[in-house]
Amino acid sequence: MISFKHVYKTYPGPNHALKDVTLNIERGEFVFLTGPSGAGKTTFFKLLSAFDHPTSGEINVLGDNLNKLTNSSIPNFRKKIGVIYQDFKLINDKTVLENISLPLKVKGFNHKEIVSRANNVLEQVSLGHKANVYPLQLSGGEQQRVAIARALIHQPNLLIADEPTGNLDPALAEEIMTLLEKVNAQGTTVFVATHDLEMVKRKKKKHIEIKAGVVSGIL
Amino acid sequence: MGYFKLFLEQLKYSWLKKFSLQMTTLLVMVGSFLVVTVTVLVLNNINHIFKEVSESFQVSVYLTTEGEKEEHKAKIKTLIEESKIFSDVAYVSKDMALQDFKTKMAEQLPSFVLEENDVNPLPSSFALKINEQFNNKAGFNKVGSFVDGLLSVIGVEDISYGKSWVNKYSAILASYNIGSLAFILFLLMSVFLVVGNSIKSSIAQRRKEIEVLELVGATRMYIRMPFILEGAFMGLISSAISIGLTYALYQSIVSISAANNAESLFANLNLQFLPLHISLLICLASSVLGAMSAMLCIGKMNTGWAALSD
Repeated sequence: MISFKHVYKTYPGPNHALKDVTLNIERGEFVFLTGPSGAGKTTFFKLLSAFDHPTSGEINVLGDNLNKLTNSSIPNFRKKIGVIYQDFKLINDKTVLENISLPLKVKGFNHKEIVSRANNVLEQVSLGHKANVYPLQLSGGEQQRVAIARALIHQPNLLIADEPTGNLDPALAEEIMTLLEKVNAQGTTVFVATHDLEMVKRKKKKHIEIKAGVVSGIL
Repeated sequence: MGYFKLFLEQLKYSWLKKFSLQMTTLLVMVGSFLVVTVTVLVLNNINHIFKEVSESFQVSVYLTTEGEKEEHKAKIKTLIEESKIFSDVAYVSKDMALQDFKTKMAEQLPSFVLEENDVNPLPSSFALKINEQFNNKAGFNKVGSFVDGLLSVIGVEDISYGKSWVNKYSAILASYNIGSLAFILFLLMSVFLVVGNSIKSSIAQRRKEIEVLELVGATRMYIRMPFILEGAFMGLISSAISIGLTYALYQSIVSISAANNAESLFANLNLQFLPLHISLLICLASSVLGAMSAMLCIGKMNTGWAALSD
């Protein structure tokens, strides 16, 4: 499902953000990517979600060779994945329903289908009663759950999360992780970049450790 | 149709959620287009006045006694008509010329008008009006060449066409045309920048929205088209409003002119508002201008990699 073959990413400097990364992630896995700040987690995340190109090496995700994606084919790839950010990236002057509807609107779904799917996914994240409120009226945990709902509404095969609990207190972080585990149990591959080693140890999932741009361990 | 629906949604959203920004953009655009429409109105009227002057411009071909003979007269008339320079060729006999002279001099020399004249000193002539297409510098040169040639034809005594006035008029017309074109181009460039900056600030306000749309897989066209249509719409609406305001301004000038007929500066000018086709052309050009400005601004922002810019 996901394969990195001798992937390098170098920024001007030169600054080697990733060095010779090779790994495979199978369908249905729940994987944590950990490492200290500046280790290359965000670079890994950007490459995986086609928000950046590798300097060399090959990346295959969901059957797409990301090295060969053109600017015009990138949107089609992004429609196949769900992405969650630490800062939620919600539009504050759109309601929760409008926010989570965006992936389906982009895909050209009709209004009735959008509302039906939106209500279902909101129930999944326990926010069915907050469909018509605005993000700023919600708590941090609720905002992250809206972001998760948006990432799930188009039923992606792969969910990628960059520090999804970074801005949340431990209780809310646990709540979000439980939700992601639930999503994984339904068959979606989940890839989470985090620096919260305690939580990673607790969850006992596949764990890729990265240090100074090099994969130092796969547990 | 899909893009149009998106555009309507975005338009509704913009006006409901970002009313002050939209209103400011609209006002700036109306102000810019108002300068353009008023300028076009002024230029159109100057052009109209020039046209009226040129239409009243007449060439008189005076005939000798020999020239009054039918064969010479017919030959001269044929030469004039074949040149296709003149739209109206009228023969003025000696009697008609005298009658016209008496009519014109009735106030100044009433005793002369009442007198029965045995001798008519006035020559017969052809009165010619220049074709509209020759009301330019090249055209006046052709008129000059033709007149010079006609003077050597038997039966032609003299030709009056105000050569110096023709030369001055053609020079004024040429300068006026070049000046007008340069001024309009300058104004359009200014409007383009003003409109571009207004739309740019509108797009900047929605930067996060563009970023999120990229994240969820929106194509560049999906993101751009509503902005481009909005730019076209804003151009259309603001130019239509500015034409309406220009009309109100024009009507007030006409009313003042009518109320103070004797004193008004505009009393003797046959002012006219912009013709429908020019008004429609301004609206169309404004829409295209708005769309192009939006296209350029969004092109710089929606590169497909907005999420990387943090």
